Amino acid sequence: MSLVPFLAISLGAAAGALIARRYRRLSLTVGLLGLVAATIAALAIVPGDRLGVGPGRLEATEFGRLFLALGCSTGLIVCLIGLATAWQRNLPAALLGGFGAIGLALAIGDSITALMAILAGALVGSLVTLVRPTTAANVQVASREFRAIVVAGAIAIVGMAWIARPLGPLAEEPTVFGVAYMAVALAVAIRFGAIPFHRWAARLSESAPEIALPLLLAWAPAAFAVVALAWTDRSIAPLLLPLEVERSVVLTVGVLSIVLGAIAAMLQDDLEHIVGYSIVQDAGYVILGLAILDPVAWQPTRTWILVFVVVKTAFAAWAVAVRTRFGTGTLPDLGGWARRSPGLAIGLLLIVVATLGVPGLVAWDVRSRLVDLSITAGPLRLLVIVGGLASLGYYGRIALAGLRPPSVLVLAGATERPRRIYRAVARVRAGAGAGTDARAGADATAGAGATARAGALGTSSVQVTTSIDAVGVDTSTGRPTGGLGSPRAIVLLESLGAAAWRMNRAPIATVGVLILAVMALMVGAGGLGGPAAAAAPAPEPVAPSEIFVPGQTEPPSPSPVESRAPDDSGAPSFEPIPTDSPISSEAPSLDLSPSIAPPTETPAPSIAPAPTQAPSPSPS
Amino acid sequence: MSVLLGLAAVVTVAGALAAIAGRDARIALAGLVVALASAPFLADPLPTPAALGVRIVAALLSGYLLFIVLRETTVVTRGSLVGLPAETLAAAAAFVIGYGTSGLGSAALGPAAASATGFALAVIAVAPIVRGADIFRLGVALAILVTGAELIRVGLAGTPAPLEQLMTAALTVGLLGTVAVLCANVVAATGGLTMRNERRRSALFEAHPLTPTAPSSLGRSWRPRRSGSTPDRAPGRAPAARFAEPASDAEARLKPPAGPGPSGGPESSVGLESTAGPDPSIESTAAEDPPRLDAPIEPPES
Repeated sequence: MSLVPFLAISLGAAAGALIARRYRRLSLTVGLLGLVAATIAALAIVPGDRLGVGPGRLEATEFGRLFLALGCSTGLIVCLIGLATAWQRNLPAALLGGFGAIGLALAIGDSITALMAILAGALVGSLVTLVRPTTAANVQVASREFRAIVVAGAIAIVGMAWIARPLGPLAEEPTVFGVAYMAVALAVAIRFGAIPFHRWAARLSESAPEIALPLLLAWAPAAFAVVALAWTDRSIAPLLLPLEVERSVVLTVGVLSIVLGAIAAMLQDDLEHIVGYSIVQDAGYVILGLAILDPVAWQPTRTWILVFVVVKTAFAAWAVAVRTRFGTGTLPDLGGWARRSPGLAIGLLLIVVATLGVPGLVAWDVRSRLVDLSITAGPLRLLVIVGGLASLGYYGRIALAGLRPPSVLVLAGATERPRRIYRAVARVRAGAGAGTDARAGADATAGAGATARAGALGTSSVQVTTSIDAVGVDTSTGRPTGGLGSPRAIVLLESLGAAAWRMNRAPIATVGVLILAVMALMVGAGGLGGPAAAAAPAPEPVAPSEIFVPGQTEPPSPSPVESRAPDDSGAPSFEPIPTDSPISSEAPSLDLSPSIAPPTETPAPSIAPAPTQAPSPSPS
Repeated sequence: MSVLLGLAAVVTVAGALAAIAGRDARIALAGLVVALASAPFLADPLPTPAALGVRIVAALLSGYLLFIVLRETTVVTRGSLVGLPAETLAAAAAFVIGYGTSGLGSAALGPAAASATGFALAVIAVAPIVRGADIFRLGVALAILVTGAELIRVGLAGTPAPLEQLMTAALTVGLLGTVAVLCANVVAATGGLTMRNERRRSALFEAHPLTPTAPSSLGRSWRPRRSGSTPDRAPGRAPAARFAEPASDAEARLKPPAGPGPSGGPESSVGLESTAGPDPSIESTAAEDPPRLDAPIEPPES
């Protein structure tokens, strides 16, 4: 079973990194190596592999493989960016633990079991909200996220359990399914921090390390949404019940998130708030996908989830790189950032293209499709389209700030060009000193932050020079006395490597952001097999505990029920209506037999939640 | 309802009540462990012995994780907001409602006792979740809420499969392990378990607080006092004199060292890693606070 190595590596490395937390280097090494190994193990997962666990089983899927590979690889790059900028020492362990739990959940067919795995992983992941020095306010913010995770999980568990049994006469009441559906959908909204459940997410954006925001606000809630979508697609959507009121509530939450999330992001000056609200806004499309209640929404929603998580990871990493480099995350103080940092400007451009897309790109098409399927016409549709495009507003505001004349803080920021270590050493030896080494003199008006950064860079050069002097270098050959294999040489190399890392943190962060942005663009363009993976079915539950069979009063049999060809008697049927879309054929099918149709004379529900014909994409 | 189910239901609800209403955190923790360990017995048919063992071990392990934190600090929490009798009555009412509505309109696959206990646990957990200023109480309430949801699920859909039992055990350990980490951090930050920087009152529902709940940063109450008629002079009550130190002293304490210094001046606090600085008000309060949070504020020796 190819999933087992991934689970063993991710969960084992997470435990190792946490246990070795007191030994910082060891913990870091275990975490980073674990992420590398987990990425490789995720790529080695073979879709369709099954592993029996008691009466249950784990089943690897193409979507799970891609989700985990993207998660671990982007997590590794985020960790490297974090090392170069603002480090959070729990981050590798939280990423590994979170993705291990997600890997387990995406391989489980039973939705409640999968949900519990995701909740456990999300709780471990929430530890990255704690930053040093720990204050009561930090813990309070962490507790808000903690509360949101658990409350959302409890609501979803009860909602899923309610219809995971034969309902007897209650099955004729669509309200029963509607309430269960609404509970699960609103749990997803709470988990994403969608408006109006956004308070905890807003506070989290303020307090949590920016580098951890993708895990907290995007990856873990996205996995929750994947499980909820699988449950909806299996248990609710095929019934084609008239759940207009419930759909309207869920739809309203999605529309509010898309529109108000964009407005809130536009109004904010701090980058972390902009990142937080942009995540809330794009999560609104996932809520729209849950509101469609048709198997045809399966593929676009899951495709958008893949695009969403990678794009938001790149955006958060970009914000971290900007904040650390210029010492501020406030837009009015970031005037001219793009002029001083073309690499980050290109990164932002790629992120915008990957998020919004252009007609023909998958990101654009799936957003358009989700809007088309959820809202057929009317002013609400126009509102959603405008709200979706309104993200150009906050991206444009950031870009405009970058085109202004450089501010004092931006001028004082570290350079994006790589710095060579021997030049810094030569400068120190020539007596340039720590202050002049990093242009502290030129930026004397830049304030304490710039001075501190300049001092730090200058100190690196001085430290290296001191190390070289202490080790002893033959000036004629430039090699350490005693040869390259001597212990002195190893000490020197270590010093040089550390100093080179310290002096080049800005270019390292920029390169990391560019890699993430390119990955986001690839996923947004439909690369890496995203749409195909999203169309693949979810793992089937072993015992049909979640499959509702109308009219059945006895517990469902564990053995599959043989299907019969539908007759033409006109009897009501709960069988899903076939659609013309190729997606629907790949969506998970409902295990319903026409022979056990409800014993009523009422005709089959004719109010479909959404059109089954795929409308033409339109701008959103 | 069989005897075993009834006993398990009573023990679970009693444990949850002790966890919510106990002011001694160790008693509360013991109640929580009892509730978590007895919850898997509320199923018909019972889970396999292995599944039961996993759940019990998970309850003990998670309780031990919290105990590691609690044994090294003051262990008093706020207790119930409405009192143990009110909590008990609310739980009893919810139990009866849950029992009467078992299946929620249709035949249930699990025992009615599980649904009833789940309802009771959910009701018990609501108040601390809605208004929880104490991380320990919040965590305990969330654990009880999840257990209640699981019991409702057992009552509706029957005994969970072994894999689900395993995930439930992992969720329990993850949940209370996270609570333990949060507790350790809040204890390190404030010296207690509360997340809010305010003093506890000696009585919970005091209409006229006798002392300011938190000292002003300048050391004076914002409200002028009438001489001779303040309740601070009543015996056994905290005097305002404690907070009426000269403003210049308090300001001097809160001010950072003047000028950039090599070890701790403004330069060192503004930099790449200054993402979250300490809150001076929290530090000042933590320095003054007695370690036991429930201790009444006593007048200092003059």
